Amino acid sequence: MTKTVFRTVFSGLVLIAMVGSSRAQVTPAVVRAIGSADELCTLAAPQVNVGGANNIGSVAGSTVNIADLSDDQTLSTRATDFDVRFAAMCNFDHRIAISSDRGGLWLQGGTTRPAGFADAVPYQAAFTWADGNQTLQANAASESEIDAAFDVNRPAFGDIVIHVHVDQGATNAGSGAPLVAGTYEDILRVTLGAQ
Amino acid sequence: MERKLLTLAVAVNALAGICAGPCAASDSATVTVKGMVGSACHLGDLSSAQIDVGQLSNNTDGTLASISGTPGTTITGSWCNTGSKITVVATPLVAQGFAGAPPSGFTKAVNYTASASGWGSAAASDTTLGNTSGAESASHSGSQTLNDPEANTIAVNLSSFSTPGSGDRLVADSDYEGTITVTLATNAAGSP
Repeated sequence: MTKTVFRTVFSGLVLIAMVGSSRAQVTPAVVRAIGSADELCTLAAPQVNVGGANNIGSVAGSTVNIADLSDDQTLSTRATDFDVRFAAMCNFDHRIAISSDRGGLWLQGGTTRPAGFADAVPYQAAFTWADGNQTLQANAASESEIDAAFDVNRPAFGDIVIHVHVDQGATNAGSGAPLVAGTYEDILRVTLGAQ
Repeated sequence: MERKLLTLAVAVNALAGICAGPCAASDSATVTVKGMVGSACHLGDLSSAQIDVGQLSNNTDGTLASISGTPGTTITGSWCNTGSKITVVATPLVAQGFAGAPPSGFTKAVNYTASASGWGSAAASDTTLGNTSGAESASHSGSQTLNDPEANTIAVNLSSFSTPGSGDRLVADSDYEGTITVTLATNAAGSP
């Protein structure tokens, strides 16, 4: 008797499954880095150019002593010139201002000015910085503050140079007037800051 | 594809009913089940999408400040199920509010090195090459490849801050900005 057996053969049946998606690259992570730089102006100690000066005595710190403010013969003002430099920097649009506390070199100590004598000496302070320049006229017309300033519309660094000039014979009592004996003084202030 | 294979199986079954020679009482069959997992990478979430370096300039002379530490952020939950390549591309910190080129001696850009570490033993690092205006004349990037699957946290840190020229002063600006782009991709040369 022939027995027939049905066999079931599954041959070469491959079930294919795929899991997950294939991606070569994922969305990048983007990190923002931030920082800031504050507005800043710096001004170093003054340096007086003694070598190129005229009629300059000693320099002590930020004090410049004129050798002889008056001429021995005329008793009127001797010409004086000197430069003062300040290393400086501002990292934003800024303004430079120079002010004279007294508006001239004024006699100190409250000595009364006799008729025909002078008790103040006018001078000019021409200053340069960045792209600009300006001149402060301390004309000794009155003992009061005088200012000069200009804007610098960019950051800048380098030297502020102030050239101080006193004309020969310049006084508040007319050209060539004799000066009352005593100490004459003024304070120049340099300011860098916001416009 | 699946339909074709099934059709093929039925055809084989039908043919099997006719024994060309002696038919055995029993037989065995082999079923091969095969699966495939595609290569994939996943870049996780940033703990912070922003790194604040803070004050960049020295308030004594306006030059670059000494920036302490290595400001950074992390990317958590990243993985690749095959060999991978991590790439970092950074751009300089550039003053956004300063128009035009800065004056000589000043810079509106700060360079730095951005590194992505924790993905394998070596960090991927990229150093920016900005000039004083912040422009870069050449493209650049840093990368590392891994041959094995990896799942880890990636730390992104900034270091080695510098100005384009030694002693450059920074223009004042409340908003210096740069970007660090981290990319993760499968690496065909890796395993499996």
